[in-house]
Amino acid sequence: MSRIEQLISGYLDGRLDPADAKELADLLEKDAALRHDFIELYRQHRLLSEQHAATSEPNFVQRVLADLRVANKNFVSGVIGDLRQQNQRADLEEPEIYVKHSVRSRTREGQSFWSRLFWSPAAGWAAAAAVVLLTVVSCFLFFGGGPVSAEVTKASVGVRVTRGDRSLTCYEGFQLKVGDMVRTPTNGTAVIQYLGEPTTLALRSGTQLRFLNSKHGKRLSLEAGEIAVVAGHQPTNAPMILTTPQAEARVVGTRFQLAARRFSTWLEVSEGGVAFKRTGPSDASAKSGANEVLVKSGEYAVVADGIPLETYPVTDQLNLRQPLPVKIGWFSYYGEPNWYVHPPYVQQTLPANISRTFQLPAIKGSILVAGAVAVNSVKRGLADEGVGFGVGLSAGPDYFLACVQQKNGQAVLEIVDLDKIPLYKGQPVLEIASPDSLVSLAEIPLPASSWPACKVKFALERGAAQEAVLHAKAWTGAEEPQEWQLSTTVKLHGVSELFELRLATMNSACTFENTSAFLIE
Amino acid sequence: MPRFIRWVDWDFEFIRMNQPDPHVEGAIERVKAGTVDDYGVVVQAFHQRLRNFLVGSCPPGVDADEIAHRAFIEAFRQIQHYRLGTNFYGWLSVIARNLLLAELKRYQRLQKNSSSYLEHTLAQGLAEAVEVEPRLNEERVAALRSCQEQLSLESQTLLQERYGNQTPLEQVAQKIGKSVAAIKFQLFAIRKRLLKCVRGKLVVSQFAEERDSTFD
Repeated sequence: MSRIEQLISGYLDGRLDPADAKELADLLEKDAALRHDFIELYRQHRLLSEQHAATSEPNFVQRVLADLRVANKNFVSGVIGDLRQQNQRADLEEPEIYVKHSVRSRTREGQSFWSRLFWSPAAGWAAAAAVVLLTVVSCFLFFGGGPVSAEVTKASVGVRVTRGDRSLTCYEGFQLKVGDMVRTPTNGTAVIQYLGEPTTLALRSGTQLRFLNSKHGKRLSLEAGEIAVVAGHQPTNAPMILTTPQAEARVVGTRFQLAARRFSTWLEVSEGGVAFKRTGPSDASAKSGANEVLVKSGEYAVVADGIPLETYPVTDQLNLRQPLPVKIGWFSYYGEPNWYVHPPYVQQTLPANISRTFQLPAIKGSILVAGAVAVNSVKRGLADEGVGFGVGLSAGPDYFLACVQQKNGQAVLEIVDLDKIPLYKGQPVLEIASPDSLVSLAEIPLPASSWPACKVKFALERGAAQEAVLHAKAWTGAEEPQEWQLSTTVKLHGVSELFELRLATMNSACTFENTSAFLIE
Repeated sequence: MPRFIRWVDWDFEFIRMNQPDPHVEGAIERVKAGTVDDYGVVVQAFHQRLRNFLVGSCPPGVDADEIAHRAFIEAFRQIQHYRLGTNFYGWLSVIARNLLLAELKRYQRLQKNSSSYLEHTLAQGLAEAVEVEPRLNEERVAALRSCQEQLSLESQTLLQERYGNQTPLEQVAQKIGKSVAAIKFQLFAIRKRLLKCVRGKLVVSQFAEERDSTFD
């Protein structure tokens, strides 16, 4: 085989390392005929996969109909109504709530037959034999890389399972296997139930969870995002272990939430206890603390650089050491008629250029701020003059994320004053044409004759070393994009202590919804 | 890239397949009148065909069902614009094609942002193919199936191991008693042979091309 054939063959078989991928890309760039052959070989490869292993969803028709029923309601409800529906759905789909419901409903279903069978004295020996048989079968399956005895009981549209080099659509009843990676989109969730026990994993949006091979017990790797876990009793010699890039949580008890962030891992325990251990590299100040703690009910702990590993009580105090979403202290001018403050929603009822600052205690450590903004109406006259409209978030003096309406009828998601935020680690995400330029991150076609609402969602995480990771997306209408349109790492200059968050508007009236902060000193 | 690719024999099948089915047309009529559940008949009737239409042009990691799902939802939203008795599948496939193009452009942007130039090039090439080939992969599906039947039993077995059973190449090599390098070589040779065969079946119609250029 020639070198080019080796490279193409390697790509199709999923065996190309980044250097080879670069070499292949360069060769294709130079030779149009070669590029054409490569595209055709790829298309043939996909068709062969389809013809030899049909992967179509078994309940495709039902899923389309189910989505239509939801979507049908959204057609008539308008954008604001849709927004409210989404909020209600978000409340209903809060993983913790769903998990409780899921466990209860499964238990009730089970009592009708399985429970009676299990507790019947006559069935005792049969049950014991079944347990032995199950163990043998499980071992066989385990060593053969088989199922992990867990299935997906709920999956939003866009949830995928990566199995080897294939990406599969995830649906209710999907059986998971060792090595599978479940990924939820940034606007969707999933729930996974272990079979034969009340252990449930609720994956929040933007989560990547891998099921690893383990001789004893369960081993999972939370590579990004957040999960809520209700764990049944785990045998001492077969524990449930969850790992993140920085930490390891060994489950002793029953109910907890684990979040893997870029710079930190958070654990909050609501029932029982979890052994929480630092595993990643740590700096000197962090080493002064313990390397492992037992986090009990009502406590939380964080593994992050510069932070000693300790347990803290979960309190209602705002903005301090809260590992889970907290309400920002909305202490703005409540009496002002243009602003309606009703936490966690803040609505500005009339278009205006205004900025609301929410003071924080000086934060030296890491911070994660996430939220969504809906632009409800726009003062069109100014927009026609090219001023545009915007909504935004400011964390420190340098940051402003905006959704801007342009004169040509297009809306773009922009970062204003980008020149003050040099790119970090050389990620070629954004190109700065001039110090005064605005960078258009996502163009959203809008009808020139109307001014539909625009929504922006963002997540900003700042680490102790002033690095920040920003994710953002903007869209119009009911369909939220599954992927972030912007994901970049930047360095915040001159902000050693974060002391304020600002929500800003420009010629628009907005509703700030579900804005939350995860803070740690 | 040829402007217009035809597989002549396939055209007759295409015409037959696009004759309105009274059962499906009846369901569409009821959907237009407001019965959502009858849309299930429509989805059932066209799902596999739409999947075949899309599957060879989806970027890595994107399943054809994702695009098909969105296409059916969008078609439902626009159902009042569909004229009964005309070609519903043709109308649906245009919607699906536009969604696929949007997905490829989104994928291109993502890959460019993350410096994955190979995937970016791939998505660009797929998008170009989607733009110039109105029927996308429908012809290829039949041609590829026919070409596989002409392969030796050994080659067919190897394809089944690789694509059907998804056996790792190391295990295939062990099973057959050859080296991994030999298996890779053999697999790539089969791929090339299939591509040549499929191209032979997808006859490029010079006549059609000349005819089109006359009308330009």
